[in-house]
Amino acid sequence: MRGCGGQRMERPGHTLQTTALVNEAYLKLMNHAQVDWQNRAHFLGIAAQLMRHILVDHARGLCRGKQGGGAQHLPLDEGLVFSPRKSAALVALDDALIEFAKFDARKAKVVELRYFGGMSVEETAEVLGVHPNTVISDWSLAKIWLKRELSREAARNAG
Amino acid sequence: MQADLWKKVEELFQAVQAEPPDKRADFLNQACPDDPEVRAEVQSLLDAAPGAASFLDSSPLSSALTPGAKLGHFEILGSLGRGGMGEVYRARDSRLKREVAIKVLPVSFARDPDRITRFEREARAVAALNHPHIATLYEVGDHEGSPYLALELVDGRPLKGPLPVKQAIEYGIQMADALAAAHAAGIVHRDPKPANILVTEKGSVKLLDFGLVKLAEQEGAPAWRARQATWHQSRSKARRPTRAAISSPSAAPCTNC
Repeated sequence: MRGCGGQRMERPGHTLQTTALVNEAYLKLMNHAQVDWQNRAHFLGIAAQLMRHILVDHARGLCRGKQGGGAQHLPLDEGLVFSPRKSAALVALDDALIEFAKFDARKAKVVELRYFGGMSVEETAEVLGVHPNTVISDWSLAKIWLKRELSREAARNAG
Repeated sequence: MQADLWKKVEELFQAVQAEPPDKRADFLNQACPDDPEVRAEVQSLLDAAPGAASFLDSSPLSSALTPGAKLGHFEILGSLGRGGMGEVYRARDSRLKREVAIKVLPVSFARDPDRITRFEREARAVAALNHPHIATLYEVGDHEGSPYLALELVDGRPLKGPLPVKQAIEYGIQMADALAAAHAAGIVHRDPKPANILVTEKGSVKLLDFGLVKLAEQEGAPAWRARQATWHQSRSKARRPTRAAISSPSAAPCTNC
């Protein structure tokens, strides 16, 4: 996934530190060998989705107090072992994103591509088939909505 | 939230954002006089907007602390790199007005209460050590469920050979002195590699990561670590250090490393 097609895949500051994570994502992608990759955009979209599943599954597993189930066991790696607060935050974000997708699928997808997939505005625009400006405004409003939802959720849990 | 309602909210939100802040209330009143739900939603989004730009800025994978982050009364200034036990940062103690090194330990620690207890016990023993050639441990704290150490910030470079004999002997004496003091307190370094030995400008040796490396090792650590641990164990049979354990680290400055 690194250097996909020679182009910069990652946003500045978003480094895929752990080879374990990349390997697992690669393995899962390869298992979808029957899938006819329509184009690069299709591939990138699926990759981001996978990253999200892997990270969130891992976080949910940690929240439950044990490693996420499944045949492939991720080795304990510093980059992947989230603090309890981080695991909870990731799970809350995923839950909020699922809700968001119910009434605005495109914005939820933007968040998935940018945050979990680490993609640039241009790459995100390519995957979604929209203008980069659309990605920028989607990203902006999505963050506001998510931030509001997560602080409401936090307030509910605190009460 | 319904999709069509959300569309209205979004349109209005984009429009009102274009207005100067003092005109927004009027704009909203004019734009949706009969739609309190939409108005309320837009207003609450406007209220949530400040600070949202940096939300989701850091990758879910990154756990690094950035300059300005506060850990108790310490403020992170920057990264010093990655030590054997995790990330190391340069930080400022806001109370004592001095710079320190902060080591944040692997988060996997937070899941094992036994390890935390053992770690804190040994940290207390190390903190009691006060020796010119041992980097002092000032404090242990907690950051998001993971322990961190505040240590003496040593301005020096890792020990690097080859060294002229006289200098090697001098460093060797300093280190043996430090190790003897630690051993007297029942603490064994267990990882006296050149990277853990800094030499200051004044030619003074400082030992780092004292007595804590072994505890910081994770389960299932790579094979070479296991071999290294066995090697150390075979050198010192009992928990209390023997002469063999003391003499082997002081060989470090003499080798061509």
